[in-house]
Amino acid sequence: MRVLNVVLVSAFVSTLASAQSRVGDEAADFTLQSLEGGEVSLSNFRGQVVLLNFFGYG
Amino acid sequence: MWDGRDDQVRVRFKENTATTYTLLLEGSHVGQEYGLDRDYYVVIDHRGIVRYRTPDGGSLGSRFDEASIRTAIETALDELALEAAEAAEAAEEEQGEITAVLGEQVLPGTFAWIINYPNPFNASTAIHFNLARARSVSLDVYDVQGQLVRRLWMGDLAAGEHRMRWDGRDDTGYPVATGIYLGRLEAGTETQLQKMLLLR
Repeated sequence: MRVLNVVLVSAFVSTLASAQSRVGDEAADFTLQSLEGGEVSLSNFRGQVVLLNFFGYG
Repeated sequence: MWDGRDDQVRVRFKENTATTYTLLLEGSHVGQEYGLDRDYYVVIDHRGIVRYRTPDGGSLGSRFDEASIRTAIETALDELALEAAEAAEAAEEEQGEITAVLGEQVLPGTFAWIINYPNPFNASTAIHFNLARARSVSLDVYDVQGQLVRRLWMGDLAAGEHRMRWDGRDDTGYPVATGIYLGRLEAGTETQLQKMLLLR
């Protein structure tokens, strides 16, 4: 069974910080509130393949 | 349009986009930590390693490189499927070895694993073990990073065969991801490990 998890992250970043989490690095864990309420961490998806999309909405 | 109450905006977003994916809010600080702006994509494999990251530069709306993202995802999924198949094969071989040992009536020591069944498993698995005499024991589930996932039992047990079920959830009740987990049975100075493969 091939399952891809897609996670959309609302972000309004105007300037780039120094680049981190390069290809080959371990992805930094984070915890954010979800649209449905409750907190979701990247580590919840450990063991699965994840596509993160940082997006803005306005 | 950010007119109206915050929760109205959120509801409208979901209605307008028909989004079914997990959607996380106010992630600017995460973007900064990753060194990413809006309209960026990251593919993370099952080991938590970044396999693709939108290159720096490019203009808003032009950063979606479907071919590169698709390749990274397909490669990561192939590796995950391969590892799961290898783990299932190893678990099957180990199960065969344990059955062979039991068949020879070799049950030395304070306790001996019998088996966890089914293995691999999806929803839950039953862990069977045998105690030669009454002991205070603990039965825990660890992930392959050595982190405690779930404490199934801690206390005294009578001699004989015992069965405890693990429902694939951690101590907070959250379903854990596909992967290999270790059942660890400890009684005094004796410890036994059992490899268990969870497939979602």
